[in-house]
Amino acid sequence: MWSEAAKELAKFREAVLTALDPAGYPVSVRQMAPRYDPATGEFTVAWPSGLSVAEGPATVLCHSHDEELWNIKQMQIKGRLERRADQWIFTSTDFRQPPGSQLGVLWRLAHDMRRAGRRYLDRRGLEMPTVNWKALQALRRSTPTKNG
Amino acid sequence: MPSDVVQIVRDYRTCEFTTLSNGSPQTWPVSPLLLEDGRFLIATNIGLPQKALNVRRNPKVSLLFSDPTGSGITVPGAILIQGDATAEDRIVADVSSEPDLAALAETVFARQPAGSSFMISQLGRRLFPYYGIRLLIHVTARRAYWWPTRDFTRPPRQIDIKELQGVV
Repeated sequence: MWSEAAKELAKFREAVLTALDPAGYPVSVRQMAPRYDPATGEFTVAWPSGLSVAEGPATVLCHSHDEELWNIKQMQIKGRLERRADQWIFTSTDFRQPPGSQLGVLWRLAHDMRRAGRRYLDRRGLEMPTVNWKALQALRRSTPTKNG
Repeated sequence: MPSDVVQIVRDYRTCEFTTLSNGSPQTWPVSPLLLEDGRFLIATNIGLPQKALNVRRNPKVSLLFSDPTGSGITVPGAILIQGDATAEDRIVADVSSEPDLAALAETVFARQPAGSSFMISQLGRRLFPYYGIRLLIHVTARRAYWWPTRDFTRPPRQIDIKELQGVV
């Protein structure tokens, strides 16, 4: 059932696991090459001592980018963190297949952002404000980058 | 606070930012800015408002600085910050009206030259018309943990969050 999630997870060397601590704050650690079981959607979590965590909702995020924060890849699995026989276990509850291509990612993002942006303004009765694009472009021109 | 800690917070290109939605964590990679007063500024746009909406319902958040790609740091560590966030209902469409937002925009332009240039190009503006309409999220740190070597199986060291003030 979780074979697609397993395939996507295997594309990344590391995963960020986030759960909640007993006070209700999120708490995250990286997992190096988690051994995700495609049959059960589970893996054993290496949780460090000295960092409080509680059973409950959890999520796994994998993302990567190049040195200039481009060629971004990302996937996420929702689930729960459970305590079993002195071990922490992540168990999956939901996975959404990411688009297969960078163009697909861009297209979905553009569509979703336009819809969400319009809704944000409509719900507050706001008109579309005038964006100061010139100020953003001036900042971009004045910002030094590795490539000048 | 060890200089390594400040370097990680200042130089890592992204961190994993978690907010809570109906009690469940939602995590995004973001590019934050450490402010003079020790708070972190994160900006999103109204096309991606979920982070801000979550914060307005539940202020508990975390930031994990754990990906050294592009930072130039040769012996990378990791920092986990837990804190309380605020997200005003105000939208900001003029970056020049908010000096901290302008500083964050410069940081993003420097870190992500191709991506950010695209977003403010004619085509980018047509595809993403709401990119320039910003929501500001400020995070006040409550606790911070440090792994000197990114070995997350080791217990982290708790560090004094007051040391984040006045380092930029």
